[in-house]
Amino acid sequence: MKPLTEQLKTRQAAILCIVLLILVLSPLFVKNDFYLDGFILIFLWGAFSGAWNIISGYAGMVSLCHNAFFAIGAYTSTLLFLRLGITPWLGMFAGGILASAVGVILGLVCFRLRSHYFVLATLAFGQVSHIVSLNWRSLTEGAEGIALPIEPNLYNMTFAGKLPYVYIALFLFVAVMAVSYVIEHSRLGYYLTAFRENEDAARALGVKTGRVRLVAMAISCFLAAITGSLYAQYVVYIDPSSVARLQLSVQVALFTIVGGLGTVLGPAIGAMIFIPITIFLRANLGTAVPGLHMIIYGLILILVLLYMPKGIYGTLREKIGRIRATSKPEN
Amino acid sequence: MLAVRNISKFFGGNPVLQDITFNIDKGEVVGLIGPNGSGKTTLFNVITGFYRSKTGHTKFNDRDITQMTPEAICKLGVCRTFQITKPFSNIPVLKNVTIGALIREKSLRKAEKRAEEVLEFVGMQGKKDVLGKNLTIADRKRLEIARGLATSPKLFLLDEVMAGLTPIELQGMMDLLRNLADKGMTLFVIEHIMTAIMNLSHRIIVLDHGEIIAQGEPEEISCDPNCIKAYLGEDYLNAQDQ
Repeated sequence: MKPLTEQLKTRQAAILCIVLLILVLSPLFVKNDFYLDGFILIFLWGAFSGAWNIISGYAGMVSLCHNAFFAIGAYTSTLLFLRLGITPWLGMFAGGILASAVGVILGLVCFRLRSHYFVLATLAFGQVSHIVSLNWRSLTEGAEGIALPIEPNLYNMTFAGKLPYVYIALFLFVAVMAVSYVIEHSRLGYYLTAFRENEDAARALGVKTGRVRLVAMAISCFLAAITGSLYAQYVVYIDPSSVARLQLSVQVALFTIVGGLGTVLGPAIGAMIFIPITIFLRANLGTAVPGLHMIIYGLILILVLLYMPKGIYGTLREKIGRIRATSKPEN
Repeated sequence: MLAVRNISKFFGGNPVLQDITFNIDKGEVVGLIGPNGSGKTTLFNVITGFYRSKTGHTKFNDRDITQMTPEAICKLGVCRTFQITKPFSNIPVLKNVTIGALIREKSLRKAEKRAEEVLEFVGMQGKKDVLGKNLTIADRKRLEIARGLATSPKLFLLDEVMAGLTPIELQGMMDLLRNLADKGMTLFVIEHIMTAIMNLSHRIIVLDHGEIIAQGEPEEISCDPNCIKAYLGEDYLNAQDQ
């Protein structure tokens, strides 16, 4: 019994190393900026989806206001740099902490709501944060947006080529997955799952359901804000419609649901499927058929929900688990 | 061990529990019976903190637990099972039980080991990889018990763990509960199956319309006129007298 699980562990570790190696090395061979941009977007969106998954996947508290935390990250690091000269390397952590604080306050108010009522509350908060970012002109410049100066150096966290961005985004992407993995295999992850599956039963077993969700919310918001900061540094221009619009939240939800809710790899897989499709359509069809990518998004979502209700990774994992269980000799 | 004093509970003005007072001593097995809707489960909910009583108080080992949350009460050593079983559906049995064990164990590995021991004790070691939702009724009830036991309760409240079982499963459950009692665990058991509860309990409390109408050893209870009235109606008593 034990050698089998040990074997599986070493095999999993080997696969993980190979995948990491491919991810680290492959950008070096891509000379085309267009494809490097694709890598960056996959990593950033994968990281953002992974952050969202911590509260919405593991704890089942579906949030539609993660655009707010993304925006907090983007604006905090950008404004700290432009107005106070603080390097974005530090500014992004300030944004992360601010987003965590806002997330915890939101949690304290809204966590008593259940399922779709919670979703509605977050929907409102997400929409309000977009409106605030549009109208708080003294801080955000409103719809005009804020441009970062393009002076490539390390302190500014702006670079001439795309490769540094690829690796920064890759690092964040891997870090978010590592955090998810650690959560899944820790007390916190077990407690979040217990809450998601049945709150009363969890409480009867001594799970402090309120507190564990606040912790998960703080982590989730922190990581979402860091992603926002990196996004701002990459595109060097932010405005409410690019970092605060509600669709960002819907998009990460979509990626994660298709990839696999409450799994480590699900959000990454979702991003790896949708981002290339988006890029491909944008490049080849341009604006010839406006909204076509939304139709395709919808189609994929419907097909996945019909045939793989736990998401691509979630369903595959279950099937593999079942095959393994039947082939395992009875002890 | 447990002291309940003057507990009352109302649902929208309707009294569900009225002025409930009783004690449970360490090592006792106390049965709680009563017709449907008499407030048995509500009483469990009040003791374990899921409902708050407006009056009176509950003490566990001389600590007032009336205003505590269910999770804090569980930490003190009072755990309950649910009549309508609430397994964590999408995760395996072992993980279900491990979550219970985590409250006492520092590391996940130790909690898992404790969970394995508990599963062996309740006779479910062969099903540790089965998802919660794929269990039979009997196994769900066992899982409820296993999860609760994993929290190492001092007082264990069991809500109809024998309902819906086949005679053989019932015998297994009886043995399990007797095993727990022999180990010195204090049990407070709601049950409708009279042979089971009469056999198991040292003492029985009878609820009807939210009030305690009788209390005593099983033999006394089975011929208490108030109980017979509650269960079989006044006509039955009159018929017997004639």
